[in-house]
Amino acid sequence: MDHPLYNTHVKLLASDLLSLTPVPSSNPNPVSFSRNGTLLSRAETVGTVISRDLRPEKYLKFVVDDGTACVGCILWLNHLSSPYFSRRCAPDVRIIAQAANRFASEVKLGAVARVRGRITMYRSEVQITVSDVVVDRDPNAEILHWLDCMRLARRCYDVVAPRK
Amino acid sequence: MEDLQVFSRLRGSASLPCLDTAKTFKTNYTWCLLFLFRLEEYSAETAIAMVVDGDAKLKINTEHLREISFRIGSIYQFIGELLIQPDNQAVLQARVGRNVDGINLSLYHQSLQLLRQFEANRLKNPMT
Repeated sequence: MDHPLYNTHVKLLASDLLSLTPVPSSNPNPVSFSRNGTLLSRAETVGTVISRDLRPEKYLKFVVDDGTACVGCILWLNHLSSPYFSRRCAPDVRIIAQAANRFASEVKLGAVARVRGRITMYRSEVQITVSDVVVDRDPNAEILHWLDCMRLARRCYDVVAPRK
Repeated sequence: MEDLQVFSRLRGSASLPCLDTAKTFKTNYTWCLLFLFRLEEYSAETAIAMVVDGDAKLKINTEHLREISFRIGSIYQFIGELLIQPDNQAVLQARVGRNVDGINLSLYHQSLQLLRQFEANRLKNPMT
């Protein structure tokens, strides 16, 4: 496999995430991102929610600070009105919409959130298009995330996979 | 002046990002700091909390915080803007805060050191 981490939610520090380089690719594949030559498309971050902008039935924008930088996150809430989702199976879309609304209600200012999603660009800034959010109540969660990120960067992400 | 001396003690070097007990991030206009401290005093009337870390003390204005209850002796994490008042007293204007009782402070401080080394190495060897 050329890019073994491509579909993995890689744990990255926010400062690391914001320094990814976008790599344009042909449709239907979305833009991917390069970290030292390794192609990535998904990420996981953990940090304190420091801003929150809710537009009901449209989106929730929030910013997560992990102590190294701040990452913008967008959680779409327009599943029931978006033409994109109208082509998909209605019961599935309803389940996705319910989950998104639940995530939105859990993302509160000051909460420590574990956010997973696709890495995307908005106004030239890297952000996360959210797939799921878990509010972490363990007071050591942020610290353990730092340690995970550093260990994985050294032992896994910095080791560039050989290309075929 | 006393508070500024406290901050001199907290600084690992001359720059704000190196506060010994703080993580920092930069917003558009101001430095914001993250502190991890034990609550020593709290006044519900003024919403001012006095927190301590060893010998260092810091005043926190918590007027913007909701859904947080203050217990003397508990450990709290605050993110906010550091304001230096005309009398040279430093006050952290807290934007968010939470109780982190149960945090492993030794692990926190050790991990913060590792994080700083990691960040410094990353800046020396930027990604391509």
